[in-house]
Amino acid sequence: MSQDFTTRLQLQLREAALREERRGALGRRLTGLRLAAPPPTAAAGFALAAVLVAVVVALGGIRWGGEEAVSEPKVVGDVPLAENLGTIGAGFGSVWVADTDRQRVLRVDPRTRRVVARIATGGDPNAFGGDPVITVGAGALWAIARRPGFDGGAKVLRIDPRTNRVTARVTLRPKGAPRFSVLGVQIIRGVPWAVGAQGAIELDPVTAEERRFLPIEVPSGEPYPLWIMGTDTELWVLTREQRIDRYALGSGRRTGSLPVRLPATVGVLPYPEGTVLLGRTGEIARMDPSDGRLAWRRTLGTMIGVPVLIDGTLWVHASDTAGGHDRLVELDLETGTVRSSTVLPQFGGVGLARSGDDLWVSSPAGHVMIVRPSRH
Amino acid sequence: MRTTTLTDDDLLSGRDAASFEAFYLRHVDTVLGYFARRTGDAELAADLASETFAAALAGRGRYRPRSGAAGAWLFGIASRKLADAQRRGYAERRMCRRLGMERIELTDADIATIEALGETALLDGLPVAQRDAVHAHVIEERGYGEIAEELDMSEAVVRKRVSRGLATARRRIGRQS
Repeated sequence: MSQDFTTRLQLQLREAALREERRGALGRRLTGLRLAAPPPTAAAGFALAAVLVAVVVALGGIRWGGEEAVSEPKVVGDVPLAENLGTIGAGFGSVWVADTDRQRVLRVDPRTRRVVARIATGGDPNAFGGDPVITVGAGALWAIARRPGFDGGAKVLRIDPRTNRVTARVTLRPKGAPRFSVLGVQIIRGVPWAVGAQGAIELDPVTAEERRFLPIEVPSGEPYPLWIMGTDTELWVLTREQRIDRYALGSGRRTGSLPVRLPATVGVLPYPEGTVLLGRTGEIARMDPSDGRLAWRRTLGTMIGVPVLIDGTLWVHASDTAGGHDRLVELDLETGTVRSSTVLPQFGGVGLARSGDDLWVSSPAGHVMIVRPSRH
Repeated sequence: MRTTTLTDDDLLSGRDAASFEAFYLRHVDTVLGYFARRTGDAELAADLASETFAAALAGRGRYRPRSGAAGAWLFGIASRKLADAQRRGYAERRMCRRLGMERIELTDADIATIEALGETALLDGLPVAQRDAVHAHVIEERGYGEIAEELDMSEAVVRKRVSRGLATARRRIGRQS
């Protein structure tokens, strides 16, 4: 759910280096054109425009014709929406993306891929991972807007998808906790929960007010846990001791603790079909939640994002610092077999959501990349 | 382009993004540890490291390869940035702005990691067993149980080694500051 400082700096430097690389290559090409070509004429201008359009079409920037089924996953869109994007979600006939440059939510029509509404949320422009952090579900769009500093009072906003208006804006200040460092909203059995480094707050789905707070145990002197995620009945906490502590959502009691066997695990995704572990350096594994044994383990580049599970298939964004382009990788949850690996046109992936048949990936450089899975 | 077997000189001479990223990954912990140790301030250390790598990225076209010189070149930039910051009282962000890089807000976990990197600059002088235990727990963020299993010893022994190693490192920092 979060990246550390060195990873975020790595991502920023990578993007800056790529911009320099592209600028350098374009500069060299234009210099060559100027040196080789006669003085520009209208015809030459049209020819250059035609070449540029061809390049854009080849890169998938313009979609010609109607929807098509594909035999292999294919990038069918690369759409710039803002300077920077963050989390992404789909629901109520739209795709919702966080514009972390201007602290607002963009509502996108998945058919035209155009922004149809912009909803200001506020938040910290320098917030960890970018503000707002959005989640779709429980009858609304939920956004987290933080105040500067990781421990500052954050607000949760409820946005009505029928009107695009903010209907509730509540400061997250759980009773009995000196501070609450919120990470995002998760929908658990149709109910919104604000999840943070100190536990989780159950929210009223209409008013966004706190219903109750479920604190977790953080050992004295240890920093925050690495990951927190809700299942239908439990809250799972990945500790820095590389254990998964489970808390019952009903009673709030700790019900169990299990060692994690994938080294340097930074994320845990408890799906009903099987638990997935994410490693710091691009590893992904499936764990048996009864005893912690690994059913399979794969390395996908050097850094991976949070996967989505669709019909027994995991989709995950993967970067490889030594190998060039980022990819969207399709894995069989049961066996860990890589079914496909699709090269993406942009670097970095900060969010992944399913809209209809397509997968939408938001990039920190402000694009959404749309991938159409194959028909198996 | 595979970059894992290339030298620092090769990486800096390459003009592609992947080469610079590999160069960054090789040196970021050392640079952060250097700044953390010199400033005693994780936030300032992070800002200085960002500005140093941004300057290295923007200026790598001026780097002239000589065997073993890449590290010295990077630390030349780092020491100039540190001197500037000490004179001004804050870290400059000119190169970061030029490259469109935003300031990164640190979490408590980031601060703990950077402070630990500052401390590990002193780990070289520790007994091997303590150094390895501190490195595994503090830098690699591995649990005591996992380390104990790997080293085939009790968790209590690992905890003691980490505790003693950190205590020694802290005493040294106290003496040198």
